[in-house]
Amino acid sequence: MRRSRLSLLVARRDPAVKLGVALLLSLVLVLVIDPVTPLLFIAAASIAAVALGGLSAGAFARTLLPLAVVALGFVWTNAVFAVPAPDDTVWRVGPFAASASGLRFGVGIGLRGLAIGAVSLAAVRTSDPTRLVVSLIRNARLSYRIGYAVLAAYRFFPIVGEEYARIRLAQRVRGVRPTSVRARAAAAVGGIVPLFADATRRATRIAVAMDARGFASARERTYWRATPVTAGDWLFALSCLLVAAAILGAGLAGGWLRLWNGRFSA
Amino acid sequence: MPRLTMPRAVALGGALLAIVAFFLPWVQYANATYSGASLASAVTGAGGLRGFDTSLYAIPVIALVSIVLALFAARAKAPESEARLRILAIAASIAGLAVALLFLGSAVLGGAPDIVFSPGRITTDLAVTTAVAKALNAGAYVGVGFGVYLTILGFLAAAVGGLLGRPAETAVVWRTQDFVLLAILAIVFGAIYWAWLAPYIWIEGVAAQPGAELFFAVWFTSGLLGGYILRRPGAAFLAETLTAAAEVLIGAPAGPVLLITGMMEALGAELVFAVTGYKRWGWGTMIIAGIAAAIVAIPWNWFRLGYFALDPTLLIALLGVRVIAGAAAGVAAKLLGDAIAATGSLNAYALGRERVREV
Amino acid sequence: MTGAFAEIAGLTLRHIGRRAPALRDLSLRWERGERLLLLGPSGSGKSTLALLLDGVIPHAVEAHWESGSVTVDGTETRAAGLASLSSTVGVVFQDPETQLVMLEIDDEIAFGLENHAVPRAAMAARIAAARAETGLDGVDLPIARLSGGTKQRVALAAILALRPAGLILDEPTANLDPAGTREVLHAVARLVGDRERSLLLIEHRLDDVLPFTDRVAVLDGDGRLAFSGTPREAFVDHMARLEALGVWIPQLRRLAALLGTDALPRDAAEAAELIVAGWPAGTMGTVDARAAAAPVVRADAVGYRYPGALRPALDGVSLHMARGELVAIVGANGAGKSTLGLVLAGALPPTAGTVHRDGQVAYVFQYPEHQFVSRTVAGELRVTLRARGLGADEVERATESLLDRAGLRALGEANPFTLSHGQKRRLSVTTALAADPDVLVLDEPTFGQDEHNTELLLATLEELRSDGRAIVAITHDQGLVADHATRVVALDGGTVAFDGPPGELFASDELLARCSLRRPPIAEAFRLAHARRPDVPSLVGLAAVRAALRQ
Repeated sequence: MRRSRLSLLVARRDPAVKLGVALLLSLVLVLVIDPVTPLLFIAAASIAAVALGGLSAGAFARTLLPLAVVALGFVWTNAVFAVPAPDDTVWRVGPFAASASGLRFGVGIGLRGLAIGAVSLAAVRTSDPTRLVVSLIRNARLSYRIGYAVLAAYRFFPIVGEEYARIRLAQRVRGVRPTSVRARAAAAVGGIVPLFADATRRATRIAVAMDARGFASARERTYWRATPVTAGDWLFALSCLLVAAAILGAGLAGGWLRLWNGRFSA
Repeated sequence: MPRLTMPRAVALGGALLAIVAFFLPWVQYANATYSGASLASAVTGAGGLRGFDTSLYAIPVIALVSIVLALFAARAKAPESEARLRILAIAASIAGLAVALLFLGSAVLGGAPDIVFSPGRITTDLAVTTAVAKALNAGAYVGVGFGVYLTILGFLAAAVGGLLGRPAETAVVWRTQDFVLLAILAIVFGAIYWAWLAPYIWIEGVAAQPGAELFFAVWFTSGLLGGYILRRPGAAFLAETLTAAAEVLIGAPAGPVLLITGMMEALGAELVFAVTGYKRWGWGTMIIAGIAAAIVAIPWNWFRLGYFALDPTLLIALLGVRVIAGAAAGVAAKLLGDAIAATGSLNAYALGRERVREV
Repeated sequence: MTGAFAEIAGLTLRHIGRRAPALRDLSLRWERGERLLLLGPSGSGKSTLALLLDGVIPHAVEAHWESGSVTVDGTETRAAGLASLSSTVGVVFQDPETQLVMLEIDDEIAFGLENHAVPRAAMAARIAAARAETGLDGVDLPIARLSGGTKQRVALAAILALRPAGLILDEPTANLDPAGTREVLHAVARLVGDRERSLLLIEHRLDDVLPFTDRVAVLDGDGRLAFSGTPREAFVDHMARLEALGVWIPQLRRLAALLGTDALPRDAAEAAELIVAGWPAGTMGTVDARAAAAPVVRADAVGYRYPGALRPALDGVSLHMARGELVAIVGANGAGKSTLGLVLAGALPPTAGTVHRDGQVAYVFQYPEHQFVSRTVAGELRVTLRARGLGADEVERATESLLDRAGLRALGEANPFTLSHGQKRRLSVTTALAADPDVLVLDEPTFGQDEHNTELLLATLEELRSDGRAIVAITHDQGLVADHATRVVALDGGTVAFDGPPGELFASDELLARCSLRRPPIAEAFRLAHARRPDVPSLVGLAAVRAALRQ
């Protein structure tokens, strides 16, 4: 599938810069408590990820789905359990009363979580993992021993699930067929130990293989991957911050912006 | 002249910051703005207020104590006395942190524009707003000043700097296998997160924050396990951070903000392990470390997850659940660690060495 | 250049957590430019030796260095740094999964170069050279999508890029299917011509590596040097001694011995000469005249699709197993062998077709660790015995006798994970037998085993077979197929490509290619001999040869 230059604009940006921007925007979002601002952030992130980053809209939405359900939970909790202003009750079910302000707050918090998730996805899913780690090592002074350890381990993510399934199958074949919930839980846990034992053994062997190629004793290290932070990357970072500022400014002007007001209470 | 390493400098700087911030704006009322110092003297002048002014005065004193202890620790020759003095300095910083947080927490009774807090549930004599405002005749409570936050930051820095400020001679060498082990454990926990995600989101959807608290146990376990296996400074911290990083890398919709959550939680565990000198690894240590991880993360999660809007009874219940989750995580980490060690897979690491029986 | 490339003098080394030393008073020379083959039973310290020569021990992995020294290229390894040692000696390990670190081939090859601070400008050329040396030019997939054999070639390329003066290959084909094995051995053969590089090979597919072996060194079970000499000295003059040590002997050499010669055939063609010259006229292969027994497991048009998979793993498989048979299931990785075994055993319900079982079927997994559910060895047996509904006393008695039979009495209370590979395998087989099954399905039973343990296992299987049980072995081990299987089922893409005696399978070039299999050296030798001398039967394995010559 041919992609236009524009549609890969975000994908080609340096991943460490993208991650940094995502972190910054997330921290800003943590201070926001109204529902509209996060919604705008989600929109911006979706555009960055799908139209400019090459991700498929479906995959993007599907990954955000769990957060959406979590958001519902926040709505529910805050609607009912947030401390209401008097005469604010929207509906009442038995002992539970939902307040309008609580509802608004809950929606805000929920959407905020989604916005943080969307921004992060836009940054990470449009980046190649190797490039991300190497860029962090070279540009963000991440220790190369941590970075490459993570990269070496990253390969195993899809294997873990298969391995666990195989272990459970093997144990079922041995005759461990739990019927009660308790037994099922015990069996699930019993499958974890071989999984971890296997993982730790692999870790030792991988470490040996890495050291056998001079990893630990590398005083100076050169890099095969070029990870320059170009003017384009800075421009990109700047534009993201400008967009964020614009969204916040619009919120200020439009009156819907609510920031955490420095109080630790309701 | 004591050697001034970066962590030590951070620790001293933090304590200094705490003192300086004491003289910056702490509370704002309609009629006046008070710094910590002026608030304390004003309250004393107004006849005192049930220990409120004493606790305020304690802050600069504690900070000074922390500085002195840290300086003595830096000058100490023997490693045991160095460690002891440094840990006392850390403890002082944490005490200062607690007092400052309590002050801030008492501003819980502040009230926000459209959500009025009904004070009937919890009352405290340290009510910054009502009692103090009344005593000082300062008018309506407006808000908390930035001085408090700086003091909190200062004490936090002092504690962290102290934690990380081990003298070079006792520094433990990290080998490649240590990093790779933590990375692989992080990936496995990341996979468990994905697997748990389905039940987690439904529980969260239904029971939201209380349900979420229970699941935090899974979160904490990874950091505690890392610390338990490697038994060295920074292991729990790195383990938890890598787990959070693994989530982000795998593309979980969680945000790099998760890294901060992870780091906060791990700090609590590290603190407990540091206090034991990284030598005691029984049930008690692990459970307390788990609880510490749970508690230390609370301020961050306070506004990350919007706890501040919630009804205090629910809040207390939530926090109670979280503490239990933390303890459970400590138990789980020890059980899991012991089980893995029993398979002989950890012979290259500290936990395996402890139980190495020559075969 | 002559002289020793590496020299080990009086070395005694003990691993952490072990009472017995891995290597005992070992003195060995590895000459410059030499191709040295290192043999020994499992646990004899071969891999430890590899890590010593590479400097990993003692610099990255701790061990108790009790005496002696290791010198590589003139420097003592304990004094040198890991950085220089790792560029002097490169090691390729047996498991492709745990020695590859990166996600893309070029990154992987560059990894070692990066660690040694090779300037970036020089990297491209070295990466390209390494790719060319291992036949990887043009391979553009991410590592996760490569086959086992290709992954091993990437590992090899990554080591070659460092231009080590010494190359160690530690069982590079042990974890691979026949296609992968062929790939890697082919790549190795291309390398051995370079006499600038010294080569140390730890491998048990001896027929393939014999042609380019200069010298053979053998370690015994205690970690001592038991023998060092030319291949002829090893496999002809001292063959009996090596056999007693539990070391693999090349199949073609055994064939030559059976024919009564002192020859050491280097490949199937040379062996064919011997057969043509020495095969007693009129000796035919024996026919196993066993009455066809009633099937104990029958599969009718069985299909299986994993949840969420695009294509079925099994499609329209119909076959049956009878008592007293040893059926080998072969095929390339991913052809559906394990799935078939699991479906036959009842562990997976077929998504199409039916499976009829006329008795108990037990399944032994490839990795014994996956099946351990208890904290002690004895506990493992007890779990299965109790599941059979036996009373407490019977359970205890049966546990004792099973432990004795498996030779695991002393380890009764040990954690199963701490056993050696061979012991774990014995334990998992014994546990399966504790269920008193009528059919035993084993997934890769000879995986990772040395000659001695393999013999033991196969003897056990033979015993079970003559007892009237059916054995199903899912395997890549062509030797097992040739010598012990009464029938072979070859799978290709989830369907049955062949179901019949091993001889027929090995006779067909087309089938072998389709299922990515290799003809075992003996079968190949007899095929070549038969073409020149038609009265020579087409035998496939040593067992058949022995049986024929016994008449």
